Amino acid sequence: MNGDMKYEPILLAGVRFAVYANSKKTAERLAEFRGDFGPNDAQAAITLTGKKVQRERELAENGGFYAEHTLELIVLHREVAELLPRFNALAAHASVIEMDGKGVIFLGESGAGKSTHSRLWRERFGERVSMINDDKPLLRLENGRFWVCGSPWKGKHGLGNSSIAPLCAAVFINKAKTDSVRAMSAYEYWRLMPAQVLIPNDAGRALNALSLLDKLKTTGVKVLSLNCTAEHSAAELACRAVFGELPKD
Amino acid sequence: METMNYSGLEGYERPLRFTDITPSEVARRIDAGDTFVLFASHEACPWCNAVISVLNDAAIEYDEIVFHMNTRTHPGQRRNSEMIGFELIADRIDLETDGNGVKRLPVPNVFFIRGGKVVHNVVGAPDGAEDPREPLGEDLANRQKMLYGIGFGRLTREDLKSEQGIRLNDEFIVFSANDGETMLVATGGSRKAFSGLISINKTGERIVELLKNETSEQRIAEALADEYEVDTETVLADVRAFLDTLRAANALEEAAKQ
Repeated sequence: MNGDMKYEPILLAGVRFAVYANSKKTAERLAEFRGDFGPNDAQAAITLTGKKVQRERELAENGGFYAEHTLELIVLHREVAELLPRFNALAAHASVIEMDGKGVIFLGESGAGKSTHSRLWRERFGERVSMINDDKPLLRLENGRFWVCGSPWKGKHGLGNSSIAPLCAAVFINKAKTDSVRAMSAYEYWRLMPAQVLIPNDAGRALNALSLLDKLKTTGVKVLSLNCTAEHSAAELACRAVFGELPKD
Repeated sequence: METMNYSGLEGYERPLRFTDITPSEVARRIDAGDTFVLFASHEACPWCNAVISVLNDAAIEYDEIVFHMNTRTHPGQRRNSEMIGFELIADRIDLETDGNGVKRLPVPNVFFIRGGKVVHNVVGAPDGAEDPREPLGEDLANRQKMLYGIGFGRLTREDLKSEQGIRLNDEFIVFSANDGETMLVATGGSRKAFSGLISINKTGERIVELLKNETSEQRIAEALADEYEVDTETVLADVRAFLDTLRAANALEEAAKQ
């Protein structure tokens, strides 16, 4: 059934996926994440069948007027997110920056200002900050440490790359009139965090995903709640809370 | 409505919701599977007089009538169990017994009967009432009215829900985090309707445990009341609120009423 489909070895959060796609453009979008392994060495296989694409088209809000590769990538994300917890990894909805080799993930409701906040960091701290992903990054637990990973799903501004950085802090963003930051309570964490990641449909993998979130707090990742304006002062406050100080030039 | 010569109704001006009934008529109604309220009492009973206006208030509030069964049917009668037709009642209602295993009918005694079965029973005056010759006072009267209210509530459709078979949707799983938070999470198709999670405390955990097999609001409340040594009525409201949360998340499967 994979006859006419193109095999793509894709590395996502360090997991080797054998992806079978129809659209050439899908392959182009995935090129950055291409690995070097044969189908037999893949840890999981995902086939983007026409049926799945059609189903996605029916689910789409705008009547399904999407290019085939766009729908294929949506299907791929859904299936990757479903499988990742098997490999101690998770798909999140967030904006992720890297600063001086350390990853910081900004989480929050849609419209909370995650991407805006990432931009404030880039503007304020310049080239020391790069975007790992601006929409759907991946998280991975390996060797007792959390890593934040780029993905092909980079959001409407297409910001991100395929890099991986140790996760230093998870910051929940709330729009506010003044800037303030504090550590997040366990109750708040559990009320907010699971909505920011994709919990699999499969019960076993869902439990695995939740236990990853549980471990995230115990592996030295700071979990902060940030009330913030859209001013550079917000990035400064957050940076101090995450790293203990502002970067020295 | 009958003229009732209860001293407790002297000066009481609201319309009375009572109508007289005989034991044989009670038996007929129970056998027919009727839904009704039975008030066993007699005019010389001090506590009956103390609560009668409260019962009438509750009946007005719930827009129900109350069948009044006079337990003193002939002169010289010493016990309510000597009333004419007592056995018709005793055969159909699970009455308490005295030390000798003899069935008795303490009054005032209000039986809330739905579909021919007693679903709630309020006996006597409220705890804390000391002297039946004194008015109950607002607090005790309210408490008593609440107890009657629970009974009236059980006659209505709302309460049909409490006996309805329910169980946990098995796509919902319990996760306990290391920090002590426990939560209920949807998996599978259930995530379409509910993608968040429900934080649950120890009692919630216990309810979820009970819901793994088919049960009902009423049975859950009874189980918890037993375990925590409190009244079923006390926990029922909390159980309902928790179940409503689960319902809202589609975490409950409701079986057809048996």
